[in-house]
Amino acid sequence: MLSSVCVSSFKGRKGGNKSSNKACYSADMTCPSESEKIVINCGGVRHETYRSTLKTLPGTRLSWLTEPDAFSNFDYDAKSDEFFFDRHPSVFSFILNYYRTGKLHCPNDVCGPLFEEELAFWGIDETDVEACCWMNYRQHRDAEEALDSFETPEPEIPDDDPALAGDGDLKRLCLQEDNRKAGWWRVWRPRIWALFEDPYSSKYARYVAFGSLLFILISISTFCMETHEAFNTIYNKTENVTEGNVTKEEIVYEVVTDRWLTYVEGVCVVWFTIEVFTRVIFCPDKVEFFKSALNIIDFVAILPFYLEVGLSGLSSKAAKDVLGFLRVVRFVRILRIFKLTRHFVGLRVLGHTLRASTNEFLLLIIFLALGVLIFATMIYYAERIGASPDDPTASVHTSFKNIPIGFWWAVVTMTTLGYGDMYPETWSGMLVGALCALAGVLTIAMPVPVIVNNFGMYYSLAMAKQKLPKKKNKHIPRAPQPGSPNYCKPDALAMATASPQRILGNVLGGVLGSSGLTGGLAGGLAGDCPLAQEEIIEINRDSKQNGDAASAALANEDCPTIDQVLSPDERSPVGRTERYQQDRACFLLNTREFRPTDGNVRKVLSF
Amino acid sequence: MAQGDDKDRIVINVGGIKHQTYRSTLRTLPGTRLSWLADPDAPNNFDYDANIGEFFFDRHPGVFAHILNYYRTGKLHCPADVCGPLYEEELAFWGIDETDVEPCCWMTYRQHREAEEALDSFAGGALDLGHEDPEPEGVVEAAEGDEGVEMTRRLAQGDSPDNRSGRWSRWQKKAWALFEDPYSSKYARWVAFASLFFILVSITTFCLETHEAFNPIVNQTYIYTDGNETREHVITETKTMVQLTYVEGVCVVWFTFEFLIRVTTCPDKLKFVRNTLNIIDFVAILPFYLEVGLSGLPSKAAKDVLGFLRVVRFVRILRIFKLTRHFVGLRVLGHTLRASTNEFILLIIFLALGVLIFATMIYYAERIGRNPNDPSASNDTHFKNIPIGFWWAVVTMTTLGYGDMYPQTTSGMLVGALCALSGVLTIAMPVPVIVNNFGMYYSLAMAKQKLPKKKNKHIPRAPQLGSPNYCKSAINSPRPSTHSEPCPLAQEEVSEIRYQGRN
Repeated sequence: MLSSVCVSSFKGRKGGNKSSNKACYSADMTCPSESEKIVINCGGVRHETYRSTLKTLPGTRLSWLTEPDAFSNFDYDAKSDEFFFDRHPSVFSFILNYYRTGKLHCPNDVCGPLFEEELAFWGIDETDVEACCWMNYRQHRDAEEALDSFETPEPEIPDDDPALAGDGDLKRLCLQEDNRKAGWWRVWRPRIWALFEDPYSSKYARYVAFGSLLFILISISTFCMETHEAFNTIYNKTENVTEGNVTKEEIVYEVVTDRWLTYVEGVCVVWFTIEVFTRVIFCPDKVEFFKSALNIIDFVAILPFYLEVGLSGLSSKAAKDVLGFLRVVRFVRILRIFKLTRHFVGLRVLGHTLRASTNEFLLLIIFLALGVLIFATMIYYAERIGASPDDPTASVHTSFKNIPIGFWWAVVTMTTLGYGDMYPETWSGMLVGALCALAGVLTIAMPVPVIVNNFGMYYSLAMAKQKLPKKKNKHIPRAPQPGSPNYCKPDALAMATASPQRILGNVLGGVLGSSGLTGGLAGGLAGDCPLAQEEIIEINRDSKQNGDAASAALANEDCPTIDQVLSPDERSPVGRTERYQQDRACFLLNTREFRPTDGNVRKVLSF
Repeated sequence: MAQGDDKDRIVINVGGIKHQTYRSTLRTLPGTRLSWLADPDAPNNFDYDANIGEFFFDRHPGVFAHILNYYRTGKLHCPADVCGPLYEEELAFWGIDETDVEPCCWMTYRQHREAEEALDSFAGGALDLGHEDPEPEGVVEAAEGDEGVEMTRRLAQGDSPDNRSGRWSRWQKKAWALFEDPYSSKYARWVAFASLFFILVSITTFCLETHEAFNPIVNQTYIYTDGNETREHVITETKTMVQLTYVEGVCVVWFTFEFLIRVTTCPDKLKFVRNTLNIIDFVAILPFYLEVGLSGLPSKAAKDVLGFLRVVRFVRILRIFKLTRHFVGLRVLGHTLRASTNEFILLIIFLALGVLIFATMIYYAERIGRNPNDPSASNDTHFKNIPIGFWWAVVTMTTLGYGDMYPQTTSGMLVGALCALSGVLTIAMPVPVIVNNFGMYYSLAMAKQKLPKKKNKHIPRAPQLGSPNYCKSAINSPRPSTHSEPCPLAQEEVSEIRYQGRN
């Protein structure tokens, strides 16, 4: 009777019917041993749950609350009997709900990266997000990753500059060597590179960009005008042809382009050549430079002109043939239009969108190809119905002579172009035509919004990055939460993720910090970057892109090493010594609580 | 009932946030978990803290506010900031039927589930691999079971009559995966590529066959004997080049081979036969064999049948649908079309209505101001009658504009402009609905494809002591069954079990 009651309560939900009675009985038999309630005050809002609930996800921050020594490790208020966490309260209710139901859903009213950060803090793996929320959750990150992955091949100055400067400082400090020539090179190379690469770097860079833009436009206009007959004079040329003993005169018609167009083109090419050579010489990374499609286009587009000029001096027959071929190859000059992508963000976004939407493009083409094939076949046979029996090919009365020619008609109809060069003339053909037009509207309408969405997402992200004012960064990274058990960043993690300078600083500081002799250098290096925590978060994000979710989970650990570097009082040697001693104590604690080398945070801890 | 008792306030602590209400409010929905809180023996059954006088539930606090609001106002709305499946689970826990959700929230609440259900229901019919998998596994288990039995038998008798069947079922499963799932192994990918290649070759030959370059016109002489007299009869005929037939033959041999292997190795014959794709496979190879078989016969009847078969050849184009096995997008398209049948009919009705109206209008508009000497009033105009106007209306409304027919009078041009405008609107209205469906299914399919494998370390918790479910109390202390309502309280455990089962 009981089981039937349970089942009947469940009508309308498919999956659970079979197991419900089992659930009822299992509920009867088991009596949970531990039902102690636990109060978690998260950002001022009290959340209450059972300890058993928190134990459902071992290895996460909340599960540690159930451990016996949690009172000393976390911020526990004995008076009100609650743990305090200084995190977002309403997002926390979703996190807690994951423990209760086993399903991780995202709140719709917060953006993905915020939730990502909270997940990282609570030590929950983001792959546990349910399918219904996954797209929503990942939307921003996906767009960002796509944009990043496309941007990397192009060498960027801001990344290079500090590294360069840092390298220089370090070298000078260590070796006390000052090579003047190398110094000139060091100083001027980034400047000239920026002059030609980044229009926003200086006033002169903007002039160079405008000059480049002007030459691109002029070159494109000449390219188009060259083909107009007004600029192409037809000459009658007499040529002497010797055939055996007889010499004959033959009149050959030749098309000669106006001279001054070639001169204009020459000036443009000279400018482009200067630009390319300057960029080649001054670019910081030659391999990346040649990998970039834009630079290859630059090079290819100036090549035909020099070849043509070089070969036009030669009068041999072979040179003439090559010239004739080169006249066709001239069309590569139209590729110069892609240089405009350097100047317009929208064009770059378009390129990224196209690259990111390859799948959807393929889909569109497959949809269209499918429709074209089917409707071309249908129209071919439909127009053949009622053909006169005397006509063996049955194609006198119709313009659809065969299926391949029907492809063109199907494309023109499905895209609702309707040139009118071919149209069905029988009733059955008209029916097929109507169907084809309808199917075409739908076929094209379906994959297009997906691509358009991608474009909109990337465009808004690119615009946001461009328009967003420089951050003032008045946010002072807060002091570590006293109760937090893992209040020290594991050194192994820092080693794995931090930039070289930071590694140097950490290692030197960790090994020699207490001696105070070389501590100056280490402290200086580590103390130089006030944004250490943010930096690490970013580094962690990078490493997460490489699939290392574990380090992401640790991204927001409260780390006194970093925090104390930031506080001005700690700059004194005494403070530093204290810091590193504390650091060591932390390290011991760390090795007990974390296994950073293992890389998996969500491991059941052994106590 | 006592007034004071009804007015008695009750405090419910859900996940740490205290909610207060009257007991009478909770009684508005009998048979639900909250209504039992108003029962006199509730403190024993639920997690009741006598000190502070509150009931505790370990659930999502924000969503509970909406649930409690249902008791207060009688209208169940959904919070906008949580996704449908989460709310569904909470509703199930509190024992509220999801059909009580108000119409204003219903669409957003059901959006994900509907897309999922649609995909699932279609995938079941379309021999989707994800859903087919359990069956071959079942076969394997049976086979292993067989092997176990077989081992003992072999030990006992030294004979292995079942050896063949065991090996057969193992091979059957392997061959089936090889030809059905391109991602199952390296070889399966090669087979899929070969299949794709032959499909493309066969479609290409199909299209080229109709080109006149491959169809030389041949004068054939037939010799008829009429009684004693022998006459020669010359007929001009088109004959397809032999090479194309050979290429087609090779393709058909491959398709036959593939089809036969799939038929023999498929785990469920009935399902196999029911699948449209397999029927297409079969139908598309049939004409070739018929043609080859009949071409040997010289009789006149065979010739007629051959002439018919040449037209039936067009079923070979159906092979293009085999591509759906290889592309996710095409499958999603199929699902979208099947799920959007209503919108399709809407679109066609809209269009038919417009076509009818504008064909009539153009017919009469072109007749205004005609030469009175012209009795049919159709000398100068393209629009000789209304049915021919249908074609013009379709071409205009879809903004195709072939230019084979166009209005030539002022009134006709006015009608044409109206027709084009209304056509844009007519098509623009139902299309976004279909496109939305496509977008939803596509993003869900993509999410399923892109979502990383779950680590799922979640350990289902033991049934809570604090919130005893109703079934338990019914067993422990047989209640006077004043409630005839079914008990909806087992859902929490059920959902956990379902959660496990899904992995």
